[in-house]
Amino acid sequence: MKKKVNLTVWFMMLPSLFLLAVGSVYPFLWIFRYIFYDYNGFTAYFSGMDNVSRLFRDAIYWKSVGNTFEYAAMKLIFCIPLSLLAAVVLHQKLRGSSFFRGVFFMPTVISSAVYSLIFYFIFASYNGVLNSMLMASGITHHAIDWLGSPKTAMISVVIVAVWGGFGNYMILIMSGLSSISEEVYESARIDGANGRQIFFKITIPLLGPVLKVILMLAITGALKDYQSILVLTGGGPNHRTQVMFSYIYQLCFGSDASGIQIQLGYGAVLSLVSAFIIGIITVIYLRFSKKMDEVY
Amino acid sequence: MGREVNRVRSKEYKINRCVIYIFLVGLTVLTIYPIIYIFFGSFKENRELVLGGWNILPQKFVISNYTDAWEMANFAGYTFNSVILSIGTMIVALFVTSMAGYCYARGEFPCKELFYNLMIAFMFINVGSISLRPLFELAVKVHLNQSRVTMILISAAGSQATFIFLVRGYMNTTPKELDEAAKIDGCGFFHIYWKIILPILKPVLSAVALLSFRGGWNEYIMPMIFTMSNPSLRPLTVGVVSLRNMGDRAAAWNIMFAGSVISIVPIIILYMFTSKYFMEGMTVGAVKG
Amino acid sequence: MKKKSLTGMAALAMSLILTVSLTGCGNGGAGEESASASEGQSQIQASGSEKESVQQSSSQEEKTVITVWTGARHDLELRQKQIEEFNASNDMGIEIDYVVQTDNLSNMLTMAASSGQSPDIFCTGANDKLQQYKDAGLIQPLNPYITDTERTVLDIENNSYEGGNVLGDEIYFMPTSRRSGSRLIYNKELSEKAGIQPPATLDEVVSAAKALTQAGEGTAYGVIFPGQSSPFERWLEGIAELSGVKPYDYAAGRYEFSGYKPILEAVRQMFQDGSVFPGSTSMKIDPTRTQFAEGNVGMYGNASQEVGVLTEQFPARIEWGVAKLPTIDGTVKGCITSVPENGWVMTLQAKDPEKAWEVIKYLSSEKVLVEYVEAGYGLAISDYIAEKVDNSKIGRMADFAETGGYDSMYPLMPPVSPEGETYRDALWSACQPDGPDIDAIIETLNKTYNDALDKEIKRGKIKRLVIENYDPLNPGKGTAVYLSE
Repeated sequence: MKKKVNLTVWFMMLPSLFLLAVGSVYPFLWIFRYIFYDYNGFTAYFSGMDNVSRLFRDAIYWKSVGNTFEYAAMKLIFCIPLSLLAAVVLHQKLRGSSFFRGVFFMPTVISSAVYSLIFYFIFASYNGVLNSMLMASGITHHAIDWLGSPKTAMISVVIVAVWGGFGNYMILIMSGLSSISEEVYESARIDGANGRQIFFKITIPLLGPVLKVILMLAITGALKDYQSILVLTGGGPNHRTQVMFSYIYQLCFGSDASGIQIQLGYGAVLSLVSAFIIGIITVIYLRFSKKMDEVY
Repeated sequence: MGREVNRVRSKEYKINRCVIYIFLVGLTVLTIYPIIYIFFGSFKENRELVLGGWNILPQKFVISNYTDAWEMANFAGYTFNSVILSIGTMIVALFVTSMAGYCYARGEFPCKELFYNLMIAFMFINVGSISLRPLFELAVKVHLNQSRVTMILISAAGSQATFIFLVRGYMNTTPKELDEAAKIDGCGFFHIYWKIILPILKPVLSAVALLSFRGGWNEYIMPMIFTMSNPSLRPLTVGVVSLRNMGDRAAAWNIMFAGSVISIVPIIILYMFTSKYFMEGMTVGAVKG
Repeated sequence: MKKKSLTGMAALAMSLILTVSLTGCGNGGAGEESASASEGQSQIQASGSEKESVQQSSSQEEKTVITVWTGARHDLELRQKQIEEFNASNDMGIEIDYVVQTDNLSNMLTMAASSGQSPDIFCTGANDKLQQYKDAGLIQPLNPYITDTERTVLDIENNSYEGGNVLGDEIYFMPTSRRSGSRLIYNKELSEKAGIQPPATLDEVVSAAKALTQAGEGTAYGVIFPGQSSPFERWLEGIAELSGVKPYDYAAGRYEFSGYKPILEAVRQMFQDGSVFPGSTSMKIDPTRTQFAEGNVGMYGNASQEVGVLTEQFPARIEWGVAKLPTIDGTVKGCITSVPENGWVMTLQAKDPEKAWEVIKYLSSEKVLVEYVEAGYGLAISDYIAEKVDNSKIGRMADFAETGGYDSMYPLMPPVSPEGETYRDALWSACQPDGPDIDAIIETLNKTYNDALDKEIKRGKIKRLVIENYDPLNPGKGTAVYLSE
């Protein structure tokens, strides 16, 4: 009897397990094959531990790891509070809130390859929209080379990421908000709590579990971003905005422009190390958030 | 006293409202500006567009960008391919993730924890674009490299973890009594899923539908590789970006912008129609996993 | 018990339905695809597929489809016309399926080759990947097919570049047009206002850029670089070549980058002087072209493809001139690379080599080549073609056709994968005022490139190229020797 149930479950699980095995596990294992090879896409030449030892000498990669953390941290610092604020504001049944909700969600449906192009024009240093506005309003007197200067390139890339991502997290947070019952708010109001008090004393704590999950999605998502960076700066200037996966992309797919040869073996090593780094961050975060739970 | 509170509150309330609307309108302007830029940019001449600058409105509206994109660059065909790819991805995602989410939440089978953790782990361990190479070689081996099915399955595989996560979370919030009652009535595991669970899952599945459609619609690198020997299967994203690659000459940015607008419109319309269900689904199910 | 097994069946049926609906979807898709192809849906496929279905229905004879891949889209209109003509007129039952790849072609080829999906023919210019292609069993030499006609029309003798299109005696493709070497393209009006002539030395470049910027009065600047679209190779590398500086020391068979130092210093100086167009470091090539066309730039450098851009795509609003690139000290010590392009390579997987050759023969024929040059897509590959071309049609291309005897092609350097940056990226970052130290970069490059060279030779991946009697002014003339150590 029990066995039959199991059979049913297996049949229903089959498609998902198939996709998991083929789409995720198989490519992951495939990569292991080439760790010890110098593989240009055509022919694999045995190279022993070269790829591994190169990893430790590769200043660009470790710089890109640092950049990845910087990028992810900056993105979250701007993105999460902004989406939290927008979600809380829109959660009150304001006039036009579904309109605003739609607008804020809109960037998330546009492919990052497309919107990065627009920002490329907006950030343009000569006659760019942003510079023209800043200069017209007297905030600066000379054009800022947003994407080209090492000082501003990272913040520019982050601005684009926040623009493209905050709607997503706003929606997720709103869903968490709606699970908080109205009565809690009512009783708080009757007790004479003001908006700020309600926000910090009620909304945030009650949102805790939801925020925890959203934060996890946001962290791992930010660590994996690279598409819009490739379009906006190509990792430049001087690798200032190079993140782990943009670097790996360039190694695995090469680029005719700068003459990078395809180096799949080394790309495979970097992929695994990067996956490992992200894995560690996730585990640390999970531990940390569990601790937070115990405190509450 | 009550009245006094009310008065104080109403004054505070007005200021609050004011601040809130300033915030919202400001954010709206910032959000929508680039989108408007794309929209009007798509009517500019190539030269004017690439020159950039302040002027958001074109000097004169060039409609031919759209007709060129549609005809010359074969956008009709691309749009069709995109629709098939996204709808296919959506259907596969709906079936696969609703069944799997249900099983993870209610079913008992060996290695359940292992599979679930493995799946969640791969949500975070992502080896990036390099994984397309083995997948392509595999597809060639089984002679499915030129098939839409392959692209659909890969697209669905990439996002199934998040969706199963959502469905399972939603399942956990629905009362177990419902299907237990059905079980007592003698309904089988699958029967319960088909007759009872699927209707309950409607909200979260509408979220899955929209997100998976969006995922399929925005796939870029994967279909680019899988359609290399059969360009008639290319989706819009690949078509749009291909206009950038003009060899030695300058790219047709204007046509690329028009193509982008063409590629954005359907997804925005879909969002407008489904956003109500979508919000409900996210609202209840989302993040409770 | 019975119920449960029924449920099991239902689940099985469910999975089956899923599978069936999927495959059904796939079949539907395939049907759709041929249907839409017959509607002439894909212009890119050059109505090849359209003709295919039309002709198949009219004549019963079997067509051989020859698949041709290219990375170029700019010449698509002309190519489509030429291919349509061929498909309609050839009596060998050949149908060309012309496919434009969207991403970089060589990457697509690696993936296609590793899975046996290669096209019959692909288009390339002189390419340092030729040896890789050969080692991977991707390509086959054309020697058995080439006739005297090709030898005359394409002047194969003078268009054989070791490692580029030829490996030893084996000819893998015949270039059918060429791009000029880089030239200095300058804004005549601004130059007049600044009272300068096109610079001939690096020092003059720096001072000219300064003078042009002054004459620009805050709206125009001296020079521009496309920081995100190969800024180094567009003209800085050309200046180096003309001054006899190459990354590879052909006589010694080693990489050597110290010769670039004065160029890096000059560019850095221009940045510091404020003579470089603001935002250059993050610009792509097209915005730099429009800025020049608008008159906001004094000078930049590029090869003959700029003609079409500045006359048709972004018609220049100023008078512009073309001059020889400057050199480091004013004396010319080397040739400047003029890339032979549009060679058609036959793959080893070509289904019907005889018919694939017919396609290559057509695409390399006098008629096709003359049309190509007259349409302004490239320069004539041989004197033979140059004589047939109606020069009144090529317009400003004539400015670039003027070679001064310095346009040539260097033997291809061994393609290495150094640890760290490629030399172009590294040298460009050393050009920027806040970039790394110039000497340090040169030292690093010398080390990474030579280490990689030694290592990859040991691995059997590449060979060391040494040219005896090497002369940078006649780079094709020496004797090439390949060493395995």
